[in-house]
Parts: sequence; C-alpha cells; structure tokens
Amino acid sequence: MNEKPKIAIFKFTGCAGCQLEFLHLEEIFLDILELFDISYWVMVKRDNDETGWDISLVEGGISTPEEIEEIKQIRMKTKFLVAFGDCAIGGCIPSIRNWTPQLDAESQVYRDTSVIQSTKVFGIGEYVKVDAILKGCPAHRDTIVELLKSALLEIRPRLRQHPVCVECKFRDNACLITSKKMACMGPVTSAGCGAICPSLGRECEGCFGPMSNPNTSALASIFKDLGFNEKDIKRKFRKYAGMSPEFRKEAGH
Amino acid sequence: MAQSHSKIVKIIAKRDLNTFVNNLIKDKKHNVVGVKTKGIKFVFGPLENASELRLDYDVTILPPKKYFLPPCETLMDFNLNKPFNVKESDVAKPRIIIGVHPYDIIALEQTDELYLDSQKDDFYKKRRDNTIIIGVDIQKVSEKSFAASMKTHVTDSGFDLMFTYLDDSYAVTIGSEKGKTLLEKYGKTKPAAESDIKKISEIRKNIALQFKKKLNVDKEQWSNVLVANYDHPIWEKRSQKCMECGSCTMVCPTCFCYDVKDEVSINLKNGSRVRTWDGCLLRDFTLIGSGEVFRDDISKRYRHRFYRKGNYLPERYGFVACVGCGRCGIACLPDIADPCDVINDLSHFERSDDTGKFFIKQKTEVAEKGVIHIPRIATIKRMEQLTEHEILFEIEFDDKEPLGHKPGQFVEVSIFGIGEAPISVSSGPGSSSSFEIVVRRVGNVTSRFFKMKPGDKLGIRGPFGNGFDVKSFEKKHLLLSAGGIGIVPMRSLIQYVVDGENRKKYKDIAILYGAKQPSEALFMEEFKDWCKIDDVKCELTVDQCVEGDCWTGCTGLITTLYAKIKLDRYDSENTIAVVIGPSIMYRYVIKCLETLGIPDENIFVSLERRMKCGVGKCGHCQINGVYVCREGPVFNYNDIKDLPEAFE
Repeated sequence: MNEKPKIAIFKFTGCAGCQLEFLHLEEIFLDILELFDISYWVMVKRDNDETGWDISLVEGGISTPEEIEEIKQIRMKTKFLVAFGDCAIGGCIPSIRNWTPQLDAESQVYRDTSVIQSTKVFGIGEYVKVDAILKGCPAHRDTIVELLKSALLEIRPRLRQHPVCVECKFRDNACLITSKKMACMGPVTSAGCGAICPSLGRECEGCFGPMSNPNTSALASIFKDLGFNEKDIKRKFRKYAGMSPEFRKEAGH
Repeated sequence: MAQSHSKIVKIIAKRDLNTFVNNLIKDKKHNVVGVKTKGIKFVFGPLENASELRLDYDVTILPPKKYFLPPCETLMDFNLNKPFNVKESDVAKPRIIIGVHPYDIIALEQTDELYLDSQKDDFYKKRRDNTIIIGVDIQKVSEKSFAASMKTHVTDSGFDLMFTYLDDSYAVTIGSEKGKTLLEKYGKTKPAAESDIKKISEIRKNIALQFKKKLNVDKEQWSNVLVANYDHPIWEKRSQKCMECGSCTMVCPTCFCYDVKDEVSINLKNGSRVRTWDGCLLRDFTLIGSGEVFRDDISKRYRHRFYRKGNYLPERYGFVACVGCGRCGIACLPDIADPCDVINDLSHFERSDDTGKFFIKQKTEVAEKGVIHIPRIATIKRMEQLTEHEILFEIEFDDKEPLGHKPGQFVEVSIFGIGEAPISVSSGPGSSSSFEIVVRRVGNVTSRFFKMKPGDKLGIRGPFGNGFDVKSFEKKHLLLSAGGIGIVPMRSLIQYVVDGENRKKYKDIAILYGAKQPSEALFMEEFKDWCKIDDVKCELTVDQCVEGDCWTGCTGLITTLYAKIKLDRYDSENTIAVVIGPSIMYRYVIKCLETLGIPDENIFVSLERRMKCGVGKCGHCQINGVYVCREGPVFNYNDIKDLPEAFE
C-alpha cells in the first residue's frame, strides 16, 4: 500500500461512547495504527491534522447551528463519511427531547435560555451525504472492524440486516416476549450485538436501531396485548431511533 | 410383527441410568450433551452431571440440528498471502446426545437425505458419524406439538439407544451395534421381560392420545391442499402480521438453509470461510449481487416456507419436511407460523391432484464430487476489458485439467477474503485446459475482479447445474436470443455449435442480440466472424444510441428483431429457440417466439438466482420447488412456464 488511509474521528451531540468503543479495540489497536493514519482525533491526540481525510467517523447528532456548519465543513474535506453510532444516524437518545417544546427543554437545563441556540436533534444525514452507517449505541466493535477492513479491501461492508431474534436463536435463548411477557424490541431491531441483553435475561432496548423493513405496528400491537399502554410503547420506539423513518409512526409523529 | 419387537430391549434402574450417564461424562471420550433446563425452558447443552438431565422435558428451544449444522461454523481457514494454503477445518470430538425425542430423530433422518446425497456435505457427515444418539420416548407432550398427526411421536430407527420411562426404571431399546457396546461398557442392565415389552408398546400407543393439537388432514394430503391454494388470500392476510424475524426457520429441525461468507483478520493476513444459518423469511435471503431480491414481498416469503415443507421437499424426497414439534408455533410472536393451523385452515378448501406442478420431475444427473466446499486452485491467464463494466478472464486450473463443462453451466468463483460468486462459463467446451468467464461489476466479489491481474490465483468450484443438451438440438435450426449480459453464457453455446465439425450437425443458426447501447455491446469482433460462417445470421440491436456512437445494427428492443426472422410452419417445428437475458426480457421474447409458431418444448431459457452453494443445499436459488443450481440454470420453457416464481 502506498499511503495509509487517513482517518478522522469527530464528536457532536452525544456521549463519546462510540469513540471509547474505538479506543477499546485494544488488542488490535497496533494493527490499526499500522494500516491507518489516525490524523484527527481530539480525544486522544494533541496534534491534529485538519487538511482532509479518507474516512471520517462522525459521532453524535446535530443540535446547534454551529454544528450544522461544522458537519458541512467535514463533509467537504472527507472522501468517505461514516455516521458513527446511533446519534449520528438519527439523533438517538438526545433526540428524545425533540418531543418536548424547544423552550421547555432548554429551560429544564439552563437558567438563562437566552444564551442557548439549539435546534431539534437530527442525525448528520439530515444535512450532509452519508456513505455508511455504523449502528449501535455505542457502535459495536465488530462492526467498526468490519468497516475498517472493508475500507482496506475496497468492498462494501458486509453487515446483515436481520433482527436480533436471529442472534437470540443462535444462542438458544428463550424468547422474552413469549416466555416472560417482556416488551423486547428485538423483533424490529437490527442484529449485530450478538443478542447481548436477551442472553442475560434483559429485554432488547433497540440500541442498534431499526432492521431493514421492520413490522413495527405488529410489534406495537403485541406490546399492547402484553398490557403495555400507548405511552410505554411510544417511549420504547422513541428511545434510540424515534427519528428514523422506520420507527417514526410508533414513536408518535 | 412390528419392527420394534425385533430389537433387543434391556431394563435399567433409575439410579443405574444416572450412573450410566455419569460414567459417560467421567470417561471424557465423548462430549456428553443432553436436555437440561434454561430458565423455564429446556435446551440441549453440555452435561456436567447426570442430575442435570431432564428426560421428562416437553420440547427444547433449539433442536439437536445445532450439533450437526452449527449456527456458525468455520468451513476452512486460509492465508491471504498464500491464498491456496486452504485448510478444511476439523469437527469436534465424538459426541453423545442424550434425550432426543423421536420427532427430532426423524428430522435428522430427513436432513441426511439432503446432506448425505451424491454431493455429500463432509462436515455434516463427519459429525453424523461421530455422534451417538440416545433417544427418549416423549413423557410430556408440548402444548404446540402435533407430532402424533405427523406420525413422528415414535420411531423405530435413527437412534443408537432409546429410553422409555417405566415408573421406577427405564426400558432401553437398542438401535445399533454402537449403542449396544456403549450400554454394555458403561451401564448395568438386565434383560427385559415379556411384560416390559408389552408395557413399552402400550406407553407408545398412549403418547399419541396426549396431543391436544391435531391436523384435520393426513400428512400425505399437505401437498394437495397447498398446491390447490397457492393464490389463497390466507398468505397475504397472515403475513401482514409477520415480523420477518426468521425465528420460525431458526428453531425448525427441518430448516437447514445456510449462508457463507469470508472473514479476514484486521491485518488482512488470515481469513476463514464461515457458514451460518439462514432463513427464507429474511429479506436478504434471495438478494443477488446486482441488488435484485426475488420473493421480495413478505407474503411470498411466508408462503414459500410452507410450500417448501409441504410440497417442494415432499416432491423431491418423499417426506413432508415438518415433524410437528411445534417449535415454530412457540417461537412465532404473532402466532402465524404453525403449519398445523395453516393446513387446518386450508383443509376446507379445494385440493389438487397434480402436486408436481411446482417441481420438475426429470432427474438431472449430478456428478459425484469429492469435497463440496473446497475450491480447486486456478490462475488467471489472460484478462481483456470488454466494456467499462465487463472484463473477460481466461482461467486455467493449476493442475491443467480441463473444466469439463457443458455450454450453459456455471462455476462458483472464490476470491479468498471476499467471498464466492456464481459466474457463467462463457467459452465453449473443448480440449483446451483453460476456460473463460466474463465478470460484470455488481457485488463485492465481482468488483474485486477489476483489481486482479494475470497470474493471480482464484478458487473454482464446479461446473454446476444443467447445461444445454446440445445433442438434442442436432438437425434443428437454432434461434438464439440474448439480451445484455445474457450473451455471456450464450457464447458458450454459440462457440460450440459453430465450431468446425459441430457446425454440420445443426441447420440454420440465427443469433439475435440486444444491448442497452453500443458501448455495452459485447463480443462485436466475434459476431463479425460468426456472420461469415455458412448459414449463420446475426442480428444486433441497441435500445438507444447517443451522439457519437458508431453502430451499424438496429435500434430498438430485441423484440423488434423477430420481424426479420421468417419461418414457415414446417420450420418452426424444427427450430430450437434459446433465450438468455434479464428477467424482464423473457416474457416479451417468448411471446415473439410463440408468434413465430415455435412450440414451448422447443424453447430453452437460462435463469439467474442466488446460487450460493451450487449443490442444492443452501436453499437460496429455489424457484418454487426447483433448484436453479441443479435443475437449471438452463431450463426447457415447457417445464417451468407454470412455475409462478419463474418469470415474476
């Protein structure tokens, strides 16, 4: 390889968990450094190169006018732009505030709201073209690695689109909905986590966002039959991907 | 005399059964697995002590298929710097599975039919040979099970030992020499008395009475009921609730479709080819490189599952591929997956006598091949960029053996680390040790081809499928119609029929070829040569010309070319028409051919689907009951024109 691809990692409105997940690739981190030039990453580097990048991993949603400008600048200087985690894809948890009037939300946190300029929270795709998405809250290390490898091999990342249920079955788990009457989001949620929560007896919260073509109304009606009220169900769908076109309806748009 | 009576039966006391199991565990010669609890459910899992074993279970979450076809398994490992350092992976040490219910034993026997046919799956076979099955007669019937209706609640075969609960002891029916030796070595038994034998058969009779769920029709009737109701509104109605979660197929003991993909280490030095479970309810099951999805509508995928179980596999193998375990009914959230419910709902409607409608009866011969997963090494000898999107590759096996293909067949081409793709052979069969393929850049594997160079290594499996029966075309006129990339497989046929001596065996040949635009038209130089051959006529057309294109052929769709073909009634009966092109083309071209008076049985087509394994196992390429990788890709139009999924 002639020159190592240049990687940048940015953070907008989010918790930095996705970046940490990248940092946690400890056992292969030296391999990554050998293959890529991590040229911009404020969390871990003192000197950052801002001239332009082959791959930018952008974490966090967009929630202020400044951020809108910034993401546009990043797009211009980036060849391959990745929405890194759920916040960058569709706003994720910060976007829950989109259902509260802007001023109410602001005044809950800030005493003087006159200095606050915020917009509704959207994923970066609302403002710029996105080349790939890494689902998850945080994005799963396996999918990060799959993306990096695909970049080196110059192929499309091979990420499956089926729901968590498939991975649950791989692990011989009893279905939490049928056996324990829990409101598990697994049937509409993209796989990739290895069904971590259901394997430990906890219902899927939907942190990987929607699978391809989810049947959300069918799941909502199952939740209803289990005794959950409309508010509970809305909250379920709002939590990680309420702004996504797939979940919008059940999230109460 | 019932068969079971001829089998040797022993009696083992309850505590001696525990000792027997503990002896097996302690001996460490086998991995001992059995039924145990997981929360409020049961699973097959490793046993550390006999006390964990729960022979009184109703049903397990997953069937024992996970021990023979694991959810995820490595087929081979490779080194990317030396791509042909391929190592087939090993299967685990011998295993004993304790507590398998009769329906699961029968499901394994059904799996054998597919996986141990003339193209054996080595991994499955090794595990099967390596495993001792200790069955147990059902003590508690699962609420959703309808095994008695499927006659799978008891079995006479498929086990090494079979336990039957008799209050303070267990009867052990010996099913094999292996089982007998095991019992003698590790267990303390006494011979069964005549009264015990009687008791066993009473118990087995009694089991049937405990099933609450029953089918309204015999299992032999599934095919008739399904075939008559292919367009019934039930499919649309029930599938509206489907979550496409794939659970029904994952938990099914007779669903054994799989997907294969390559994985590489981050430093791109090592990789492995991994097989995982796949299911026909998942949308990307039929996704091909170009992005096309067959059975895109969920109601079609939902319907497919029932037809595969109740009609497609029964027509092919003679058994209904459902054992009535009820697992899908338990796993399905909207409760639409239970075949018992669907068949009972449909049983009030019409039945059909012609159950073979969605299936081709003729058996295509399949050559016995060694290892079905491991490709042979080949080298790229020559590359020729044909158009912006297509490259021709001349490939030779490193052992210089010819491919030995028929025109129309395909190969599975591997680029290690990226994956495998089915690609048609584009050269005619001949004595040459090399063959040609043309690759269009669509998916990951095909795009990767564009970065290769002569001397690079590839893996080849095949040739696969049914090619053109060129012998049956002799003494006939040939009308060959190719659209777009369809000219690639067509070229293998053209090269054969115009070649030297072969040319005399066929009458007039007309080749019609339509491309999108002049820059995408393939093999233009060869067309010039073909035209020069006696009584070979070529007609070319492009959908459109843009300014600056140099094009002497026609413009318009391929269907406009048939006006130029003049056949009288006598001729049309003696004409063989071959059509290869994108799926949209067939309907229109075939109409033209019928207008010309060419009978349907003289028309041959080649169809594209996702041929993943090439050996009729992975399930991806099915058109109704037909495997494109085996009965196709070349079909007689008359055989498949009534298959609803063929030209949708």
